[in-house]
Amino acid sequence: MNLFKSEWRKLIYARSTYGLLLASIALASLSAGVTPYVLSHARRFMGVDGLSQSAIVDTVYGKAASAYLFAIILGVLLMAGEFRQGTAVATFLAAPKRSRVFLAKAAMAAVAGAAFQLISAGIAIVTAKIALGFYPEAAAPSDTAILDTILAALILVQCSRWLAWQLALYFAAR
Amino acid sequence: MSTSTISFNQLTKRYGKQLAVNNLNAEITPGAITGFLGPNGAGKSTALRCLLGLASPTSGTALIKGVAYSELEHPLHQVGAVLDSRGFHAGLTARQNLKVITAAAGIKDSRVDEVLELVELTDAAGKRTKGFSLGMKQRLSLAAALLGDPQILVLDEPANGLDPIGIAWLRGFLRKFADEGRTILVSSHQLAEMQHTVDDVIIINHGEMIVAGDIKSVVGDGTLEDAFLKLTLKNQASSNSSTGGGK
Ligand SMILES: Nc1ncnc2c1ncn2[C@@H]1O[C@H](COP(=O)(O)OP(=O)(O)OP(=O)(O)O)[C@@H](O)[C@H]1O
Ligand SMILES: [Mg+2]
Repeated sequence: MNLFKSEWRKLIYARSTYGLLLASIALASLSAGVTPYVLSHARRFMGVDGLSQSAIVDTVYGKAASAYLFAIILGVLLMAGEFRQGTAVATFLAAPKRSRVFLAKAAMAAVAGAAFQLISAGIAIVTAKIALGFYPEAAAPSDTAILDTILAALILVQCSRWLAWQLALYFAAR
Repeated sequence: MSTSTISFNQLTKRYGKQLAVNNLNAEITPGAITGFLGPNGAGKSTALRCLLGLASPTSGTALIKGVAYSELEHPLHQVGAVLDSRGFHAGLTARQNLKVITAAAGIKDSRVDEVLELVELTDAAGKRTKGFSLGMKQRLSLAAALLGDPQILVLDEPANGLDPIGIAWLRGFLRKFADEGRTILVSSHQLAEMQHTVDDVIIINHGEMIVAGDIKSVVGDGTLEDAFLKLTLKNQASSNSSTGGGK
């Protein structure tokens, strides 16, 4: 629990965390926000007819999960950043049982990554709603579209956790 | 095996072919300052890293109160360490860097401002460590070592980068710390400084101990520098002839 608190402090004290969060929100909102425009043009000029109206709207919401890359970067920074900074020495002096340190880091990477995705996807879903408002002819999203988006966002975060874990083990082994 | 404060028991550490520490045996006197001396590459940092669980011995042990560092219940409450390899998060302030450590070690946060005051860094407490000078970083390292109010200090070249005022302050600080019955193991290259600071010395070369004892018996009538040069040069010559003759 102590170690988790320590990782939490590393996260909230670092300015890079907030930069990444902003970038994550911006990317998710941008891709969700411009997709209605792109798709409407694609339909008009390129004859994309394979997609039903409701599939298009679902695609727009799906874009809200697209900032997972930033959750991955965050995970890697959390897991491996200490070796670059040289603060790993201080951490291992406080907690010489290294497996506990890795567990705390992995847990924090998972929680923080999930929080990143939920915040970015949530804001992007609102952006998507607003963007779709410019297209009165748009169909309603399928019942599960928003839930699917959030689930997809969280699953992508699990992948990010796995990747971060692998990278950390790689760095630790050196 | 002794349960005194710090003991090295046939400690050997090998990096590939390089024998960094070779069969080191030593007991550190409790309640005293022990200087850990030796030329560059002698194995001082390696021995200290083994002691602190940051490197694993190839054979032998380095123990604190009879147990390995990794087995200590609350390590930062027992041992404080300053190491050359230690870094700080450049984007975090001095205070934030220490609060990351207090959280990990279960030390109360009020200690942070206390130790910053002790090392006279209070004015820089809210500054990012990116802009810190070498001496300021060294003071911050010392502050980190003191967080748990430990009985034992292990310091690897703590005077590095300190200005004359800082060095004088450190000397006084170490003396007071030892006079309270606490134990210090400190490596340094500043022999003139060490001569007036330490009670005991251990000198190693090529990973092997060449002399250990209280400062008076090692130094005799001369200076610590004289004794150091004589001992290490003699050791150099004998190890050269022995390796030369062996091959
Ligand atoms: N991680 C490492 N990998 C390989 N060799 C190492 C490693 N660390 C130390 N060594 C080697 O072990 C020997 C002892 O190094 P160490 O850093 O312990 O010396 P030192 O006494 O602290 O020297 P200095 O006075 O320069 O700090 C050196 O020959 C060094 O090259
Ligand atoms: Mg060294």
